[in-house]
Amino acid sequence: MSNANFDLHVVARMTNRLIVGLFGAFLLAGMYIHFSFHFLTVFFLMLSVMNVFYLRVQKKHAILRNFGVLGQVRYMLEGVGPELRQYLFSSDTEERPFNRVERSEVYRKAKGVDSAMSFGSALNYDATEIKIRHSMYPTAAEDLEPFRITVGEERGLASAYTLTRPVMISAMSYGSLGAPAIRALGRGARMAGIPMNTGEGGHPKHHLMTGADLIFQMGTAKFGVRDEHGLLDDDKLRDLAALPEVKMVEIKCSQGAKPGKGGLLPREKITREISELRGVPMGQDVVSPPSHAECASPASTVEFIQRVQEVSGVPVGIKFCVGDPEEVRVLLEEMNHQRIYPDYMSIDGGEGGTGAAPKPYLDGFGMPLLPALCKVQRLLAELGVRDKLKVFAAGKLINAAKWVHGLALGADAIYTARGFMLALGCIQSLQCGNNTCPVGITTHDPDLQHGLDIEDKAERVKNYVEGVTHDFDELMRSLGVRSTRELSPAHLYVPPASILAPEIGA
Amino acid sequence: MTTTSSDVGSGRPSAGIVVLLWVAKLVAAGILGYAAILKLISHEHEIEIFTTLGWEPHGRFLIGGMEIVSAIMILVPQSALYGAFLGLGVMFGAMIGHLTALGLAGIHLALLVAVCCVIILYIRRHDATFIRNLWDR
Repeated sequence: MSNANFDLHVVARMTNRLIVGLFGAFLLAGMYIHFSFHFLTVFFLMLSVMNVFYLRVQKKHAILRNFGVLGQVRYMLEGVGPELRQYLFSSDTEERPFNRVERSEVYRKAKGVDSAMSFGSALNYDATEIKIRHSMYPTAAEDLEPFRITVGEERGLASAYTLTRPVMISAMSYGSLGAPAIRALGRGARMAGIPMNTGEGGHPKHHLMTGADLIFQMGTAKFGVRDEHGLLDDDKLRDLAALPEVKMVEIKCSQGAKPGKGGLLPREKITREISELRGVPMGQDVVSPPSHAECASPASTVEFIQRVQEVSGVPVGIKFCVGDPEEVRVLLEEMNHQRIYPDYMSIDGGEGGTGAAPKPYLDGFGMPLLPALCKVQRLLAELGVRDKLKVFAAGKLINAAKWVHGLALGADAIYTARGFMLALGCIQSLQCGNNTCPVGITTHDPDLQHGLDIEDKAERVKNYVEGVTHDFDELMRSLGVRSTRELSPAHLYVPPASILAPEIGA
Repeated sequence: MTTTSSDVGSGRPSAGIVVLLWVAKLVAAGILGYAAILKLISHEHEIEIFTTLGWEPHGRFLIGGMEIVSAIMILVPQSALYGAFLGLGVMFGAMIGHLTALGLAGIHLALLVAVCCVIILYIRRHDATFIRNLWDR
């Protein structure tokens, strides 16, 4: 805090003495000139008292013990640092997880305004950005086939579910999000004709109210379908899957935000209703177990998939973040051995998602999505499993170009959660776990939820889906393909410095 | 199978602390509010005091206003910390007045309010959002 010319410690010491001196001076002025000087006497007295506390009483903060009230300036500035950086000092491309360029594109799509930009890309074009290879012979608009995939067709299910857009709302529970956010998402999803994942928040009461098509997610704690031992209760799952809104069931093995660890709901966000829907106590963090008790080995995992398929009667998928691809290989071999396959696999990138997670997990665990997707795709092809199931990809795929990346690397459809949060008006203030979300999305505080108008935000969700789908169709035409089935890694230009380069041998 | 983590960091305060906090709040707000009303309705004792100080009448209304604002802020949980801070400042002023111009009669009430304000400040120090990093790290 100091250099040769300007010793802050000396300045602070002098300031602290000056404060006491001024207190004395104004006290005398108040006594002998005019009583009004005592306003200043009181001011410097308060500063002196704080100084005594900072310099002599408290022991936690060395800066305050050495510098007193001047040291506090540091903490005050540090306190407003995130806001100042976001508003004033961060460049458009340097914030994480989503920079301003990426966020504004979602905002513009959600508001239905033109998102064309001028004068070139703001991204680091030369180093690591993956580019899409356009064709000299673009597809005519009338030749483009409408997007359509059917999950569950491989098993010939009567309840097979058809997606007509390449995107779905990824898992966000009631609990992680507040009720108005869920309502807005659900209504938007219904208007846009896409399904939404319920997240692992127990009986999806609020999701069901919206009338959207649902993918019921069964987390490792099996909220909503658990018996008293925390194992799967077949009857509860059967009843839930029988609801007309529930189109698919997803077994969550792990998630990108905290692979290898169970779901986490901080105690600040556990209201009475949430504690009832999940069957957990209030006032404590709720931490789900790291894995399903039924899934102790590849064999038992596949058996569990089969059991859920039989009980639910709807398409069943598994969601996981890739750690060791060899484990995925063993699991796929076991599927081949038992001739049981999930109806889809959702690959979650290790980039972290909406979920609250301990920092080392958020930052340090799990393969990033695109390399993981490549690995899984290669394993599926090698073991002859690729035509037995669908593949979904999740992990920061929030715009049309990113959708193409995911689909070109082998996914059949895209999951995104944070894209939809941004569409709801998320400003990335990173307070999801604190119940203090300033835009009312990840909070249960009615005062903060007041800011989120369900009608308006539902419209934005719909606009976002339609806007990005429109972009996506244009990109497909520029690529010179007629359907997503024709996409392949060859459609991507991957610079040598990209993490994807070793995977696709570019 | 669901496990719960232990309570870490600053959780809910114990019942004793809550009672102490509310006693301090009620005492401070009660005395501040009463003193404020006497000033605002121009009670003759107050007029006498403020004439001695040379602040009659504007200073009396100003101080009365500050006292009523701090009393209300102390009672509202979200603003209790800042109300106590304001109340402490006003009481420092009152004590200076008693010590330098008015004589010691009545200073004990100012002292009592100041102590209550310090109790509130200490218990609710985590509410100081503008220096939140001080407590969180």
